[in-house]
Amino acid sequence: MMDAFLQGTATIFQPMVFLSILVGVALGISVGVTAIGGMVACALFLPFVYQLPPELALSFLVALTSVVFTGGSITSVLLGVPGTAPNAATVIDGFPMAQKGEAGRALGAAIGSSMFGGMASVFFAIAMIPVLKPIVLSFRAPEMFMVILLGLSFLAIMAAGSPVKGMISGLLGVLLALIGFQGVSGVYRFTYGSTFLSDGLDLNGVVLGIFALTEMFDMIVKGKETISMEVRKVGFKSVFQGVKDIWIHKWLWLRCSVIGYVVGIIPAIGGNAAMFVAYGHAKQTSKRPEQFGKGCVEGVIGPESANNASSAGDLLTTMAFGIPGSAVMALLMGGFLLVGVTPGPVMIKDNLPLVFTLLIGIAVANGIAGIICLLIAPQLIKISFIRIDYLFVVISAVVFIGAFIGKLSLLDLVVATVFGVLGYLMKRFGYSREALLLGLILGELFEFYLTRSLKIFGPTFFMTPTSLVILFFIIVVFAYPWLKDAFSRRSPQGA
Amino acid sequence: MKIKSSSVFLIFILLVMVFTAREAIRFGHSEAMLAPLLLSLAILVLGAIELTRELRSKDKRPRTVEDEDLPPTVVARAKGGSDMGRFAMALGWIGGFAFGIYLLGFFLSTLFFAFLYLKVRGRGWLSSTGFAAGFTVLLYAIFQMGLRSQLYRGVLFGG
Repeated sequence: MMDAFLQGTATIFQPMVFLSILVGVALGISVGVTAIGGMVACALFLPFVYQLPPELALSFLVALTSVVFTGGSITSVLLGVPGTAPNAATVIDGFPMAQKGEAGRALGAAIGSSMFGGMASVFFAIAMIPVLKPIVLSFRAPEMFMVILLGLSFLAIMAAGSPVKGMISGLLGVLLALIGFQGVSGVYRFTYGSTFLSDGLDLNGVVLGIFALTEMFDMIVKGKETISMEVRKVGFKSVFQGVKDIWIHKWLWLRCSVIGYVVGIIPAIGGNAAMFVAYGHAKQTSKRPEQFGKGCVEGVIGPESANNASSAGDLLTTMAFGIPGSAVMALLMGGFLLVGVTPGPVMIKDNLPLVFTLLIGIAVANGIAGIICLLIAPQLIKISFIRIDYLFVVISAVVFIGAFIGKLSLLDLVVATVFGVLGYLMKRFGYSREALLLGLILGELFEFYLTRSLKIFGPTFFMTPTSLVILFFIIVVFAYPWLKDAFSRRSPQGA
Repeated sequence: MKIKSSSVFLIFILLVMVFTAREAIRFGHSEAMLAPLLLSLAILVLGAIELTRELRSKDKRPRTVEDEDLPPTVVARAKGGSDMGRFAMALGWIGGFAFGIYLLGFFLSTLFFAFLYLKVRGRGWLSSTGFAAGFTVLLYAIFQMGLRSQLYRGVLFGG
């Protein structure tokens, strides 16, 4: 274990790996500021890492996705527009602080909490590996199948307006993964004689279509000209006042970092849930809860510590179980597969140095991103004035090149466009694109573990103790929205 | 009774699932049939539940992820024109670009697409030309020179 840790740490400081982290950080911050979002960013940059060695490619992608929230906090505070969805809670108090003339203080608190939260979560993750390793390795086919179902259930419930629509999306994704030649039976499924489809759908084309193209369609339909409209001035001194606030509220920062990390570990939840849980906790434990929503610095420190801290938990779940810890991790997992690394128990067992490299990469990326943002946050905000017209041209070209590179087939341009349209319709009608992607990525494993479980354990394969515990969680996940509705209907009557 | 567009989309999914289940049965081999059949049946059941709920619901617009996650400041509403019209226009540009790639390859079609799109959207000659040329050169430098990717050269130039 120690050897793997040292080896992983040494890899980070190889010049090319460190450079790839730097580039990832710079792009991640820019993406956060432009409000494109981590998922679109990860999708757009997959084509660039296709031919790179795994440690370079994955360090870049991990750095990119783990600092997007740091960039996103800048627009949340200064413009009232969350750079990414997990920055949404920061707007509630960060923007009012900016309106009161405390923009710098809010920025300092947001960026500092993000930086320290992201770095602390890496230590939690590394400390957990010795505990996690035997658990992961003890999982057999039925448990793995149930974990996949749990991941799909979480994402279905969390990502969509309707849990049923979320589950439909996830299962559709699994079904799409079954297109192509099945080795076990020797049957070509849903290919209709097409050699293009016999290898299945290329992940690149689908991901780029369903995230990047869809977002472009959406921006054009909404008639947006630029991402932001106005900007506030920020004093350099006040930024450091915000950093001092973190020290004053250090226990809140620590508790919210732990919350972010723990929520991040739960499959398919990630930063979105972490930030709201942390915000709720910050308000509950504050001595002045009535100030929340009016510009309270604790309302910035809480969610910003949590959203960056969720990254390490997310990544650990993804690497240990092969189940993406969040929607962004589903895309990142696509990146793993594209460069030939298969996340899951085998990775923890055989590729532990890479696991450490990527976790430490998160800490390094967060440290660099925090320093950059603290120094040049007011200048960075200018990126958010890029006109949508230019963005449409850039994204369309990168989408098509990225889709083509996978199989060197022009038909992948059609795949990207079809999934762009499907993604737009899904977004419009409240279906979860994240769940569809997760289903598509896990589809093959879903079928593999299902048939294996049935063969070895029969139709009652889910009756093992661990499987029953996971099944219980799945039922709780599905019952949760109905229980919540039922309680909220009862409470006003009782009042 | 007027059927909502979201219900039409759901009915389309259900029809595809009926077709998928029928195809799965035809695979003959149990291992090939099991997962697609189970999945399509599960989607049919879930879809039927959701459709019943939608048809009974009085809410005209389905709740979307964005409605839940983001505050009102983020969702900029379009001014004038229909959503579907703008969507069709964007899709037209994308389709045209894809056809351009088929004819002229990636780099030439990017040059023309970037220039035409920006010009039609009201940008000046200088900014449209400058951006189109600069962006194409950047793509060439990254993909052709840097990553040495073999990008398609277009049917007019031998593919």
